[in-house]
Amino acid sequence: MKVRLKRIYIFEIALLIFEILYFLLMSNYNNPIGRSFVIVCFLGILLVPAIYFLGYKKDNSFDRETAIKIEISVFVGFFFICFLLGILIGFSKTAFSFDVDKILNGFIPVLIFLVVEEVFRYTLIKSAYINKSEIVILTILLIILNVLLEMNIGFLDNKFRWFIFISITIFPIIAQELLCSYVTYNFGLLPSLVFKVLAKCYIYIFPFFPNLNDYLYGTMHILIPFVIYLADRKYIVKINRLDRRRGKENRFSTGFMTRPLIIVLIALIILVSGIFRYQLIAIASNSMIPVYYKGDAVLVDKKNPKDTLVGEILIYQKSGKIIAHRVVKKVEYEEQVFFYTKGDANNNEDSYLIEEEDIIGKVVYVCKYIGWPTVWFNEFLRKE
Amino acid sequence: MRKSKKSERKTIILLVAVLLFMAVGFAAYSQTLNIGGGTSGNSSKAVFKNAWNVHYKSGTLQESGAATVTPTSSLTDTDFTFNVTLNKPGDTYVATWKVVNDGTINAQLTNINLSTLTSAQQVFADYKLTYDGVDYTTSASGLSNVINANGATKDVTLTVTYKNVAQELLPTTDQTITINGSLIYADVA
Repeated sequence: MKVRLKRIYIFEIALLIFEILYFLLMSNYNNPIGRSFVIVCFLGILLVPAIYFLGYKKDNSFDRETAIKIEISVFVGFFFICFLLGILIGFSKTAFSFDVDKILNGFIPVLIFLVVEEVFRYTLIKSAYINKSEIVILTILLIILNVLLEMNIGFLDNKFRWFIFISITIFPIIAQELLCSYVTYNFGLLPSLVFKVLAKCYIYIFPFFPNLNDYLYGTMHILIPFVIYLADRKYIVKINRLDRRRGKENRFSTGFMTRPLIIVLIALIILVSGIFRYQLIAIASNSMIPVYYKGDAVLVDKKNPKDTLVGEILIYQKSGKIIAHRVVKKVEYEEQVFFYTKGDANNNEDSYLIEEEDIIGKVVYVCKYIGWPTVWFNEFLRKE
Repeated sequence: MRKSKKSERKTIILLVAVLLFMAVGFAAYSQTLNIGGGTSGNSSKAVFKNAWNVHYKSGTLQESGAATVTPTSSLTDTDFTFNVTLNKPGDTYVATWKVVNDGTINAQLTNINLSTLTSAQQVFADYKLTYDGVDYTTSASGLSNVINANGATKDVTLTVTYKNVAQELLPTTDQTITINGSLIYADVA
C-alpha cells in the first residue's frame, strides 16, 4: 500500500511540475488548440506509466447507469430552461459547424482532452483505495490544469476581467472537477466522462444557443454540478441498516432554512441578471438625496420605459455608467421620445439628452442599504 | 450520517456564498458596463468565450510623433479613443496597435465607425486610419477584412497630422482633437 501511495505522489508531483512550467512558458500563447495539444500530450505520456504501475481497474460500478441517467436528466432540464429563457433574451450562433476543418480544430481537440483527463483521473482515483487526501490533491491539480488551459494572461489586464474570469471560468471549473472526482470515486469512469462531454461540448452540438449573460452562464455552470451531486446522494447513496431505523433522518435534509434560502437565491439571480422585467440596481452616488442615498438599491421596471412621466425617476446609461435621475422634461420628436433629467440634490439639470436606446427603465421601489456590498465592490474594482 | 449532513450543509453554505459574491460582483460590474457601443466582438459573450473573442491585443500599442495624447489613449475591445494635442504645423501623432481574434470563429470586418473633424479642425488637421496596411476611406469593403480565428492579428494605425497651411489659417493656441472609433466585426458566413 505504501509503495502504491508513493507511486501516486510521483504522478501528482509530475503533474504539478508540468503545470508550473506550462504557466511560465505557455501563458501568453494564445492558440487554444496548441494549448490543448500540449496538455493532452503530457497527460497521455503520464497515463501510460500510471496504468502500468498502478493498474487499471475495470469500470463495473453497480450504480453507473443510474448516475448517467441522473446527469442526462439534469442537463436536459438545464437546456430546457435555457431555451425557454432564449425566447426572452434571444439566441446566438454557436461554434457548431458542418465544416470538417472547424470540427477538427474545435470539437475534436476538446473531446480528446476530456477523455484523456478522465481516464487519467480514473486510473489514479481507483488506485488510491482508502486515501482520500490523494483524491483531494489530484482534484486540486486537475482544477489548476483546467484553469491554465482557459487562462489568457494578456486578456486579464484589469480587475473587472479578473472578476469575470473567476466567476465564469474558475468557479464552474472547481464545481465540475469536484463533481467529476466524486462521481469517479463512487460510480466509475463513464458517468464522469458523460458529464464532462455534456458540460463542455454542447456548444459544438447545438447550432444556436440562448444569449445568456456572464452572470447567468456562470451561475448555471456552478449549479449543474451541485444539482447532480444532490441527486446522486438522494437516489443512489447506499443506506445501511443502521440508517434505515432512523426513518426520516435518512432522507436528504439540511434543515428548515433550505427552501426559503433557495427562494431568496432564485429571486436574487433573477433580479441581478436583469433578463426579466424587474432588475435591482445599486446606487453609487448621492445625487438623488433625500429620495435615496449611496448604498441603497432601486427596483427598476423595464416595461415601456418611454412612458415614464415628468417627475418620475428614470434609470439610463450614459458614458459607460448607469444613472438614476428624475425626469424634468420630456420631448417627443419624429416618433421618438427624449428626456431631460436632473438629480434632486444637484443644482443644475443634466447637460445631456437621453435617447430611447439609453433608457433601462423607471424606478418603482427603493431598498435601503442593500446596495452597499455592490458599491464597495465596484469601488474596489475601479481602484488602480 | 451526521457527518455527511454536516458536509452537505457546508457545501450549501459555500455555494450560497459563491452565488452571493457573483451577484454582488456582477451588479457592480454592470454599473460600469458600456452597453450599446459600436463593437459586436463583445468579450462578455460568455457562452462562446472560446468561440467569439475579437479584441485589442493588450501591450501592442505603440505611439510616436511630436504631438501628445492627453489624457492617455484608450483602447477597449475593438473601440478606441485618442485625444491628440497638436502644437505646430508638421507635428504628427502615430498610434499602432493590433487586433487579435482569440476565438474559434473567423471574424469579418464589416464596418469602421470613425468620428469626423469639425470644419474648423479640418482647416489645420487631418487624420487617417490604416487597417492591415490599407488606408480606410469610407467603406470597409476594400480592406483585407477577414481576421482568422485562433490567434490571427491585424495591425491598425492611426495617423494625425498638423497640416502646413498659411499662417493666417492657423489657430492661435494648441489644439486638442478627439478621435474615436470602433471596428465592427461579424462572424464569417
